[in-house]
Amino acid sequence: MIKKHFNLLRYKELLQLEESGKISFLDLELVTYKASISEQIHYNRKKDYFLLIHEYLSRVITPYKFRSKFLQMRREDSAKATIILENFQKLEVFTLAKDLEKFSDLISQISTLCLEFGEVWDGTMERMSESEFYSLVNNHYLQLQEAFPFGNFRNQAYEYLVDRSFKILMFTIGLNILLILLNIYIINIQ
Amino acid sequence: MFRSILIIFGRLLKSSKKNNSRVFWPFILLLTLTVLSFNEGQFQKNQNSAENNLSSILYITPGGGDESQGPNFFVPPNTPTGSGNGSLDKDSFTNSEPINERPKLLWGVDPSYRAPIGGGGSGNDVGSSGKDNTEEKYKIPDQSEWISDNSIWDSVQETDSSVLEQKEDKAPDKLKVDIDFPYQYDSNQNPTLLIPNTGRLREKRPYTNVEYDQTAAHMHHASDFDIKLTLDFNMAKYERLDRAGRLDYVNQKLPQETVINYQNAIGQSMCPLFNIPGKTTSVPGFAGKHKIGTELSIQQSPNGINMLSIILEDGTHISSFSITNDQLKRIINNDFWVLRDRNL
Repeated sequence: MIKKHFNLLRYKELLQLEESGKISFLDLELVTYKASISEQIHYNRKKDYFLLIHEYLSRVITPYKFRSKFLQMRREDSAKATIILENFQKLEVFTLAKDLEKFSDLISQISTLCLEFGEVWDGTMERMSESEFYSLVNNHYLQLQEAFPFGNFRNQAYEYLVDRSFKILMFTIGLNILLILLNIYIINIQ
Repeated sequence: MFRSILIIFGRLLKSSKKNNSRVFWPFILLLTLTVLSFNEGQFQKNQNSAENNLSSILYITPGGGDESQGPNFFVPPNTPTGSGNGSLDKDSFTNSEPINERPKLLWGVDPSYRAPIGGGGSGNDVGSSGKDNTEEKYKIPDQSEWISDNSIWDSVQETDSSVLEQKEDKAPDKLKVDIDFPYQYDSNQNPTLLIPNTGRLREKRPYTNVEYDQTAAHMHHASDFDIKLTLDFNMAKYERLDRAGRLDYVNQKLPQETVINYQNAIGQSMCPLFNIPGKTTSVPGFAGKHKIGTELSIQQSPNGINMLSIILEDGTHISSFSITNDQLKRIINNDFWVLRDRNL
């Protein structure tokens, strides 16, 4: 994976410009620098994001749980990024993936969907339907898969299910055999 | 249960070792198998329960609105009243300046009050024809005419306080919670907060209206503003409801104070505050599939959290929520276009 370093020198310059009032806190370059840290943190755990989206699309988790978990993960990443942004020593060695932009853009679109799902306004804007939400998330997920081919989660989900079923079966059989042996033992004693 | 199974196994092993050595090793194998499976199940269960606990902490927090707050803010009498349908008459606000301070004295509710000494009477007392009479009436007497009887002052004080008490009892515009903005009641007797507009349209419309109903229909963002909801408030159920259903649900489950506190927190996220050093700005933007002109208020708090508020050009507040830096970047890149997939 090709990486590039975070340009700390330029970031410091921008912070100084903001402090002196020459640029606003909404300056695109400054916001881009700040955003790149949280984007990299999202990128580092992209497997978690993929899995969560896949679980939702496979109907393993409810839409509400998906939205709340997704936004929660984003908030956690953002909180980590805020801490890193205050530590120049960490920023100096911070590296960014080169294909960060594409990934973060798609993830950000899904996040915006989650945020805006519940928006309503006085009869003229009703809540988005679950099917519409599903379809939009699915579109973004397909683009994500295309850009970042990842392991087949369908198989992983089945593997997980089979594994759990096997363990439960083992437990039940083991317990039954033990009960039979216990009964035999009691009969022998009598 | 697990303990009792182990005890039984122990006794069985002891006896099988003594009586029949062929049964001993299969027993050990079975025991290991059972214990392993059992522990696996326990681990899964613990993990799930921990997850549930976490989600309950995140989305449903205990405690309701703070009802211990006393009445402390009044709508200035000059503030126009609601037009009946919950909307506000914007032009009528140009002549009256809502006070953004808590009245320190009881007579703060009555701005027409004027001290009778020195400054002349109030507008009601002083007519165009009676100006000279009033001046004569309130003329300071010579020192020789001064009366040193303190009982006169006692009677004056008694009269004043009784009048003020009456005024306080009759004041219809008291809220049960502490808020930082002027407000006006809608047709349902719920307050609409009037947030000073700091954006480009401030000349045209000096206030942004944060309506009670619109706020109550957005309780899913309340956690962004640290608003505590009651324990029995089911957010998953609330999110599935339409706007009318949400309002009913909020009326059932939450005290009015919670929604008003939420309105107040939204208001604070839209205007610069002196005691909280944050960066607040208002920019023109668009909302919805059809790119309706809006105003976006963005506030960045010292801990790096960005609050986005969407306001229609007529001053109606639509929604406020927190956004991350990468979402902010995306909004700036899209020329401040929000709710792009929604039919506004």
